[in-house]
Amino acid sequence: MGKSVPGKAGRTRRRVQILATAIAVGGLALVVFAFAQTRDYLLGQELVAAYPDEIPLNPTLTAYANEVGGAAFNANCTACHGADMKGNQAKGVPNLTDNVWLYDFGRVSDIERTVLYGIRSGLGKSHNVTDMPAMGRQKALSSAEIKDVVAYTLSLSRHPENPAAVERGSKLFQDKGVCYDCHSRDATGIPDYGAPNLTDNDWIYGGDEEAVYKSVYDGRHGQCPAWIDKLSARTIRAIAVYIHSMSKESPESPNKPSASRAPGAKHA
Amino acid sequence: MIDKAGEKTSERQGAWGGMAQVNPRRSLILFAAGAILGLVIAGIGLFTAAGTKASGIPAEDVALINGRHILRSDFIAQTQVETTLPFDQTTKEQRLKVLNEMVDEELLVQRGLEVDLAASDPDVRAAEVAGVQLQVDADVLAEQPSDEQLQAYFTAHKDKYSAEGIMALRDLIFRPDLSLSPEQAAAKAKEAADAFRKGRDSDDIAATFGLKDSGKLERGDLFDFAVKIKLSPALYAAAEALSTRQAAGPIVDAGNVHLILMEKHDPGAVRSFAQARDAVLQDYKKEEQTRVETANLKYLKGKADIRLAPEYR
Repeated sequence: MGKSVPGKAGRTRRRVQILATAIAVGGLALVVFAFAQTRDYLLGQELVAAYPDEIPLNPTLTAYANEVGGAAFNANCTACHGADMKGNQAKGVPNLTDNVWLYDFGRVSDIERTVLYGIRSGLGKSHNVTDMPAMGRQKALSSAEIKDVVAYTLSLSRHPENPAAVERGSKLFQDKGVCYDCHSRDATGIPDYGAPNLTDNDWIYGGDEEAVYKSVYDGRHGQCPAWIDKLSARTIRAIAVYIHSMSKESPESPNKPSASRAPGAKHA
Repeated sequence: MIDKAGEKTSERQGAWGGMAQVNPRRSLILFAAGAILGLVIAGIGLFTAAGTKASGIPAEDVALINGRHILRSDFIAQTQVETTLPFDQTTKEQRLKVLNEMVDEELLVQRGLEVDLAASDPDVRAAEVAGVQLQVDADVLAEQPSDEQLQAYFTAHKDKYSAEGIMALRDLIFRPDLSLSPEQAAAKAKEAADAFRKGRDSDDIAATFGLKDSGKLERGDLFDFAVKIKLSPALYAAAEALSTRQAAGPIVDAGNVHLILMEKHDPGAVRSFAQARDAVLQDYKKEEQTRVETANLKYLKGKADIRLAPEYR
């Protein structure tokens, strides 16, 4: 009996110590969690409130956006653009790691617009000014004429194989085909319309003769969904920053060179 | 006042400032004050244009107008469009001007909804109809169907992706005045078919063997589908299988012995799935679009209270 009393007290003391330790650990975890949540909240607020094209100049915000945006990109965008972000020519999905941009210049603000409202997504604010018309299916050009236009188009970025066809194609491009209306007279494209540059040897649907013929004959109608109602403003902004970090702005970008390159980007 | 227990009533009930005890007068006055304050706030909200105001705005917004957001991204894009300058090169005055215009526009849009402009303005109605259809179609327009879905669609609609075939043919029957027995007619038809295969002209054959046009087909080039509509299934099946300068017959159909002479048959080019993929994609999406638009209207009609005049029920 004499020994049992101090034993009971010792057990009680031990229990109190365990409980106190558990409360301390739990409290600490709660503080760490609260700190992480608060930091996440504040960075998220800062991210969406910042001028998008200046975010790449802020290493903390860029790192945060890349973390959030990378995860969101993997969850939502890789199905089309691929985990390596290099797209898929068979489906007309563009490469997001280079400096070629169909719409605008690849600034964070440009990319954000595309992620927000999409391309031909059905929303009024999406990129949807025009389509590549089906010149063959609509009988605007004959099969032979399309072949000439293809010869001309390919000659803009590589050595021409059939100069006579190139000559005929050039006339069709500038006249009957009205191709210049979207691609411009010098075929360098118009980013406002999403009409690609035909002189840079960069092809969304592939640059072989057959693929280009198909583009002219059947037309193209590339699309990207709008994420405005599916993802938060913070996540969309983060995706835009992430894509910007993995790519380069167009050489024509009006951004200052310092802003066009993200700190910690994978390539210079 | 002293009660039976010897306590002052006011002490038991608690003084105005004594929170330890209940004071009915205090409760009543505070209750009334709360009710009046609530009514005043509700009245201000109800009878002023400002309505209920939020104390702050979300960080992603540049303005919040009666609860409607103006996204910073939209504001930047609008400023760049209006000034034709990159946003960071615009002045504060330029930005404020654009923001003011956007606020004005939002207010006018909200006013338009308040006065139900769509009820009376055909342009607003048309814009709303087009806008709603676009919303309904948005997912279909943005969806990328799999190659398996497209292949299945292509297989089910193969005719759409082939250039239409063209035929120039004659469907001949024996003149009734010849009164040929079925056997005689069959033998003559066979002979006539052989002559055609050997290169004799179809008019010459008709004259020689006592044949005449059945009257179902015109002379000259006809699309496959037109021939299919005009001939019976048995005769079309026989004609479809023929190449140029081939003949089929005798074929007994509807009491007559027929001879089909194919003067020209261009069956049309059949495109492979790979060649037709883009066209298949567009057609597939168009059909899906029609499907969701129809389903949407069915849903709207299902939940609507539509009453028609007796003569249109």
